[in-house]
Amino acid sequence: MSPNLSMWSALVVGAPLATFLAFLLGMGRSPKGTVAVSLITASVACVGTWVLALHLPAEGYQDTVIWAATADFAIHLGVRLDGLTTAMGIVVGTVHLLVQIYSVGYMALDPGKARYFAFLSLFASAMLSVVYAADLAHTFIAWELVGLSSYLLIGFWSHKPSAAQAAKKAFIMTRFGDLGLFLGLVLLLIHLPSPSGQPSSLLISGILDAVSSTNPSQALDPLFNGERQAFLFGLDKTTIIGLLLLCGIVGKSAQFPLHSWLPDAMEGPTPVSSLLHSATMVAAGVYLFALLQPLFLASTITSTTALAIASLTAVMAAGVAMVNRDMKRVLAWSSISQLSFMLMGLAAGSPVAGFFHLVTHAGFKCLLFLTAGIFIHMAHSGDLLEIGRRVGTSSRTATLGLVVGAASLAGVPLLAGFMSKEVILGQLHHPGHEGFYALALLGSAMTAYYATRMAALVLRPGEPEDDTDHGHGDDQVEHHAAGMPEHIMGGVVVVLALLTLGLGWIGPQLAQHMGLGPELVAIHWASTGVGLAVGALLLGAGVAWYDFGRAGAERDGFLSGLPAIEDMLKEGWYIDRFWRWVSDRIIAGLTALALLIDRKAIDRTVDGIADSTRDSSQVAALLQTGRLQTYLSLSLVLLAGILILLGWK
Amino acid sequence: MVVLESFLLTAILACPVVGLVAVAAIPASRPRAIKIASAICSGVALALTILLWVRFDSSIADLQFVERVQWLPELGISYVVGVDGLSLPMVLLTGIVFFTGVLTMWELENRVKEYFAFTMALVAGVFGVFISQDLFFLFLFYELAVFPMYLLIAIWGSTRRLFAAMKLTLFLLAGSALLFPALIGLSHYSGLDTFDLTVLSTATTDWGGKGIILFLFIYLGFGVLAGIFPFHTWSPVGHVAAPTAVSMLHAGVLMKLGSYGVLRVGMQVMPAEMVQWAPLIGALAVCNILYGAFVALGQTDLKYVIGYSSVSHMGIVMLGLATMSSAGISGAVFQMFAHGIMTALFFSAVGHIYDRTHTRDIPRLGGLFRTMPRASTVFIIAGMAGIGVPCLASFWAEFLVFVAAVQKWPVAGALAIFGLVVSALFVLRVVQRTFFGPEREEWTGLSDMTAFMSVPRIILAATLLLFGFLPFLMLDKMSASVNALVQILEAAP
Repeated sequence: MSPNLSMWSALVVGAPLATFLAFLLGMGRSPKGTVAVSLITASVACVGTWVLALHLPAEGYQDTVIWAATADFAIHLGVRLDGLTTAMGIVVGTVHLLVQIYSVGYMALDPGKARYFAFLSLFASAMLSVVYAADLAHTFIAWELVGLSSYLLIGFWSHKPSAAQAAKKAFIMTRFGDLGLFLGLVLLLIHLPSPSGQPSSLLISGILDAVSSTNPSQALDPLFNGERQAFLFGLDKTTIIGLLLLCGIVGKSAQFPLHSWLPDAMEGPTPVSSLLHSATMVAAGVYLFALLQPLFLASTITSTTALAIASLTAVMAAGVAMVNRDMKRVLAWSSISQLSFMLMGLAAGSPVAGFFHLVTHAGFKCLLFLTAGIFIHMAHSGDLLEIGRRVGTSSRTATLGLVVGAASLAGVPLLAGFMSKEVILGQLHHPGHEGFYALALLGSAMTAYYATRMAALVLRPGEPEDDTDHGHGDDQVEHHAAGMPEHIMGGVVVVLALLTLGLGWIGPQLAQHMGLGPELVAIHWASTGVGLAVGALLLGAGVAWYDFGRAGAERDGFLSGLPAIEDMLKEGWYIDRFWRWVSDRIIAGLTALALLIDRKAIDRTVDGIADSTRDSSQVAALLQTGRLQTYLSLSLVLLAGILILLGWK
Repeated sequence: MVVLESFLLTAILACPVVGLVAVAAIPASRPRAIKIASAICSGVALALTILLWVRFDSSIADLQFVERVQWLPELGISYVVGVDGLSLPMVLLTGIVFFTGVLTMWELENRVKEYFAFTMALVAGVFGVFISQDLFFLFLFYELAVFPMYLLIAIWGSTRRLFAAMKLTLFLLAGSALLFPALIGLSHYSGLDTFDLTVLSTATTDWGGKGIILFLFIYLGFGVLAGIFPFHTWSPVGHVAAPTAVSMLHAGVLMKLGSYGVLRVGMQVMPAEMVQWAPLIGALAVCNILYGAFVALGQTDLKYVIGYSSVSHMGIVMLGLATMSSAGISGAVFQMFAHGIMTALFFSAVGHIYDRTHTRDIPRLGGLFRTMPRASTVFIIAGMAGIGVPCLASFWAEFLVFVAAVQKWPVAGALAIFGLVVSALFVLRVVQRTFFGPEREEWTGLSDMTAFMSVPRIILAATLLLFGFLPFLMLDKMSASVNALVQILEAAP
């Protein structure tokens, strides 16, 4: 008997949500109970994602109800299952469960752990809702809730000013991108042709049908079954809408120029960084691109813009990761760069390459973050040199996690990161994309460099130095007392390390699940492409080893010889400064202007009218002297005036 | 039950009136009895409005629960009450804010008797406006609602209370000065010599040149109360000075009287004039949204921030009305409801904080989340509703209005959506500075909301969540009436 897919999908989304609602209703008084309920619902959701994927009918599945409707528009609440959505569901459900288990150890001693697990469950529910939604408006709603839970979790230690600031920044910057996304959705809702007599809607199936029903090669505007007509700035509707939607993706997936919130988001607890800010939430942007890929590819301008942004970001972010000394921040910049690789694969037209990389990245980056959590906990510092000095190779689990994760990230052949990145590079290795291909290779070499550097700094600490300068008061540190159940954390790291070793080989199964041929993920081992990729790896890793790893290395990095470039990288290409300028000058300026108008122009006019009324009443009151002589003389003057006027007539 | 339903609206109206009498009868030396009597009356009112909501047939576009009593036939005045899909949400809103407002003031000690008496009078006026279908009574109730505000602010208020009370009263009276001749004009120039709204709006009167002026008077007269730019400055000042529950009623319900008046009297009676004036209304609404948000960003007093955010949010209501489409009007009515609940929640949270810390100065506050987790959570929920976070009622309202606005005026719509980013800025800034950050010594040991005092806040937050998760509950109730109104507007020359 096949399971009821609607019921299962409701369960997958609803179970974690129930945890959050129960917390709001007062379950938080029992932290242990909350943790238990949260773990149970996370398991249910995880099992559910597998059920949905394994019982997916060949033709897909969709079930919706009207959620909100007016005469012209209808918004649906519902589920849409196909190969892509169910595969993504598994990624989210599994990583979420692993992170929750890890958190049982990591947050064991935190007084606010009930709140933590409730927020984490809210996130899972929202994220799974993004994945399965059948209506883009529903996707958007869940997308915003994901943003909300990210805000709550980054600011979880809200007493830390830096965390509160980072949470706000993340919300505002992604909101800024969502402005474009929202506008794009509204335009799509208004202009998408709907069957006559029915209210228009944003059902994903309807949008994909509209795109595929016309042949893109005919130079038609595929969405609006008409000619490509200029709609705005000489661009047609499909392009405009694609570019607007891209804004939201750029914000959520932390691409240039809306990327600088992600490194700051590392202020949250490390498992949160792992789940939200590398493995799943930031991947939501890439996922949306994958979901609507035909729409983006229907316009060359949109897809080329996406390629350009992604390839630029890949190199820029990798550059910052090469010089940063904070372990979590290195990983954050790395996530930005890796997300760009995924986006490049998708924008270049491969239906599977970018998504495959999303899956493997979720595995190895989650592994790296959770490993980093152990290191930071043991070293009481996030600084790579400190970690190397204080921990080094003393924890076997952490060493294993770091080696497997970093090797996979660097792209060592046969490991997960290599297998999926190679498919992306293969997709870019085509005439017309030479520039992007070159940037991708450069990015790969830089990735190998920073991954090797990170591993070398931690595992080959060199001569132990005097430790007295470095107190334990570093504000980057997440303070924890001793007694944390480390075996739970270690267990999850081992599981993830094993997963990462195997993930590279699921490409054909993934392609098949998505209804595609396995040749799309095949790697041609004897080709120039593989040679170039391995060359980039050897170059990057080799230089990093020379700088940091070999015995007697100066551990300074070749970039220290180029202070101008190093400073620029340390400042994150000055993008943060730009946004601070926008906030301090433009926004603050507009605020001051509005205040000025309100106080000086509007209120002064209003109060002026009131004052002049009062003043004129005082003038009038002068006449009321109470003396008969005044009244008499006034009457005489008036009488004379009236008589004169009458005589005039 | 059937008997009750035949005069359900009058029964709802009677609740605050009975409350007024009861409060007047109980000696001032027994404040607890006065509070209990008020709570009972407001509770019954809320129960009756919920009954009204449930029994309302959403498939009918016309008025329901109509009661009609001739009063002054020579002048064409009769007591007509009834609700349709446009006023039903407002009646429910008033019921909720009334009840929660009474509970919020449970800790009041100063002149308890007078306070609750004036509140009862105010709420009677508000209920009256929302159910009256006769212009004369509508105006009468409108004035009844406005008048107690002066005393409530002047006696129980804080910061510059006399100035604020005077400013508010003068502004609203100026609005009335425009309204009164306009309403008489409507009755007279229609040639029907009646004040009955149903008659006036079904008769397709050609108002000629006078219509333009009459509509402008109605729009400005009611619009002042809705806080339209540039006639909004009374509103934040009034919010700041008013005691907590009066701010709740003021921002939550009273400002809605303005936008409701524009909708009920302006759009329904004079559709052709509405079509002509819509671009101006829309433009001013966008000013409200952006300008209000930017001014809110520059405030350092918690209540000023919320006061200006109300200016911004009322802009969304007016923008929705100006689009004259079904999505826009549904969104506008939804926003009136959602904003009413949300802003009541805001003020009730701020009221608690002010009670304990005796300051509303944002730079002085900070780290309150540790001291008052409940009050902070309440504020944050309201804040999230304010910036359009989904699964809270206001999201749907804003979503519908923006869809309609982009459809009608793409640039104005895009600008209005940008206002949401600015809203996010000022709300998150306040949250960060007031509730987050290290705990401050001067605030340690202050008490959080008690379980009892959390009840009104929970009711308000639950309402936001309910309609946020199930928006069709609201949209279904209003759809028939909205569609009928849209048809009238589309048929207008």
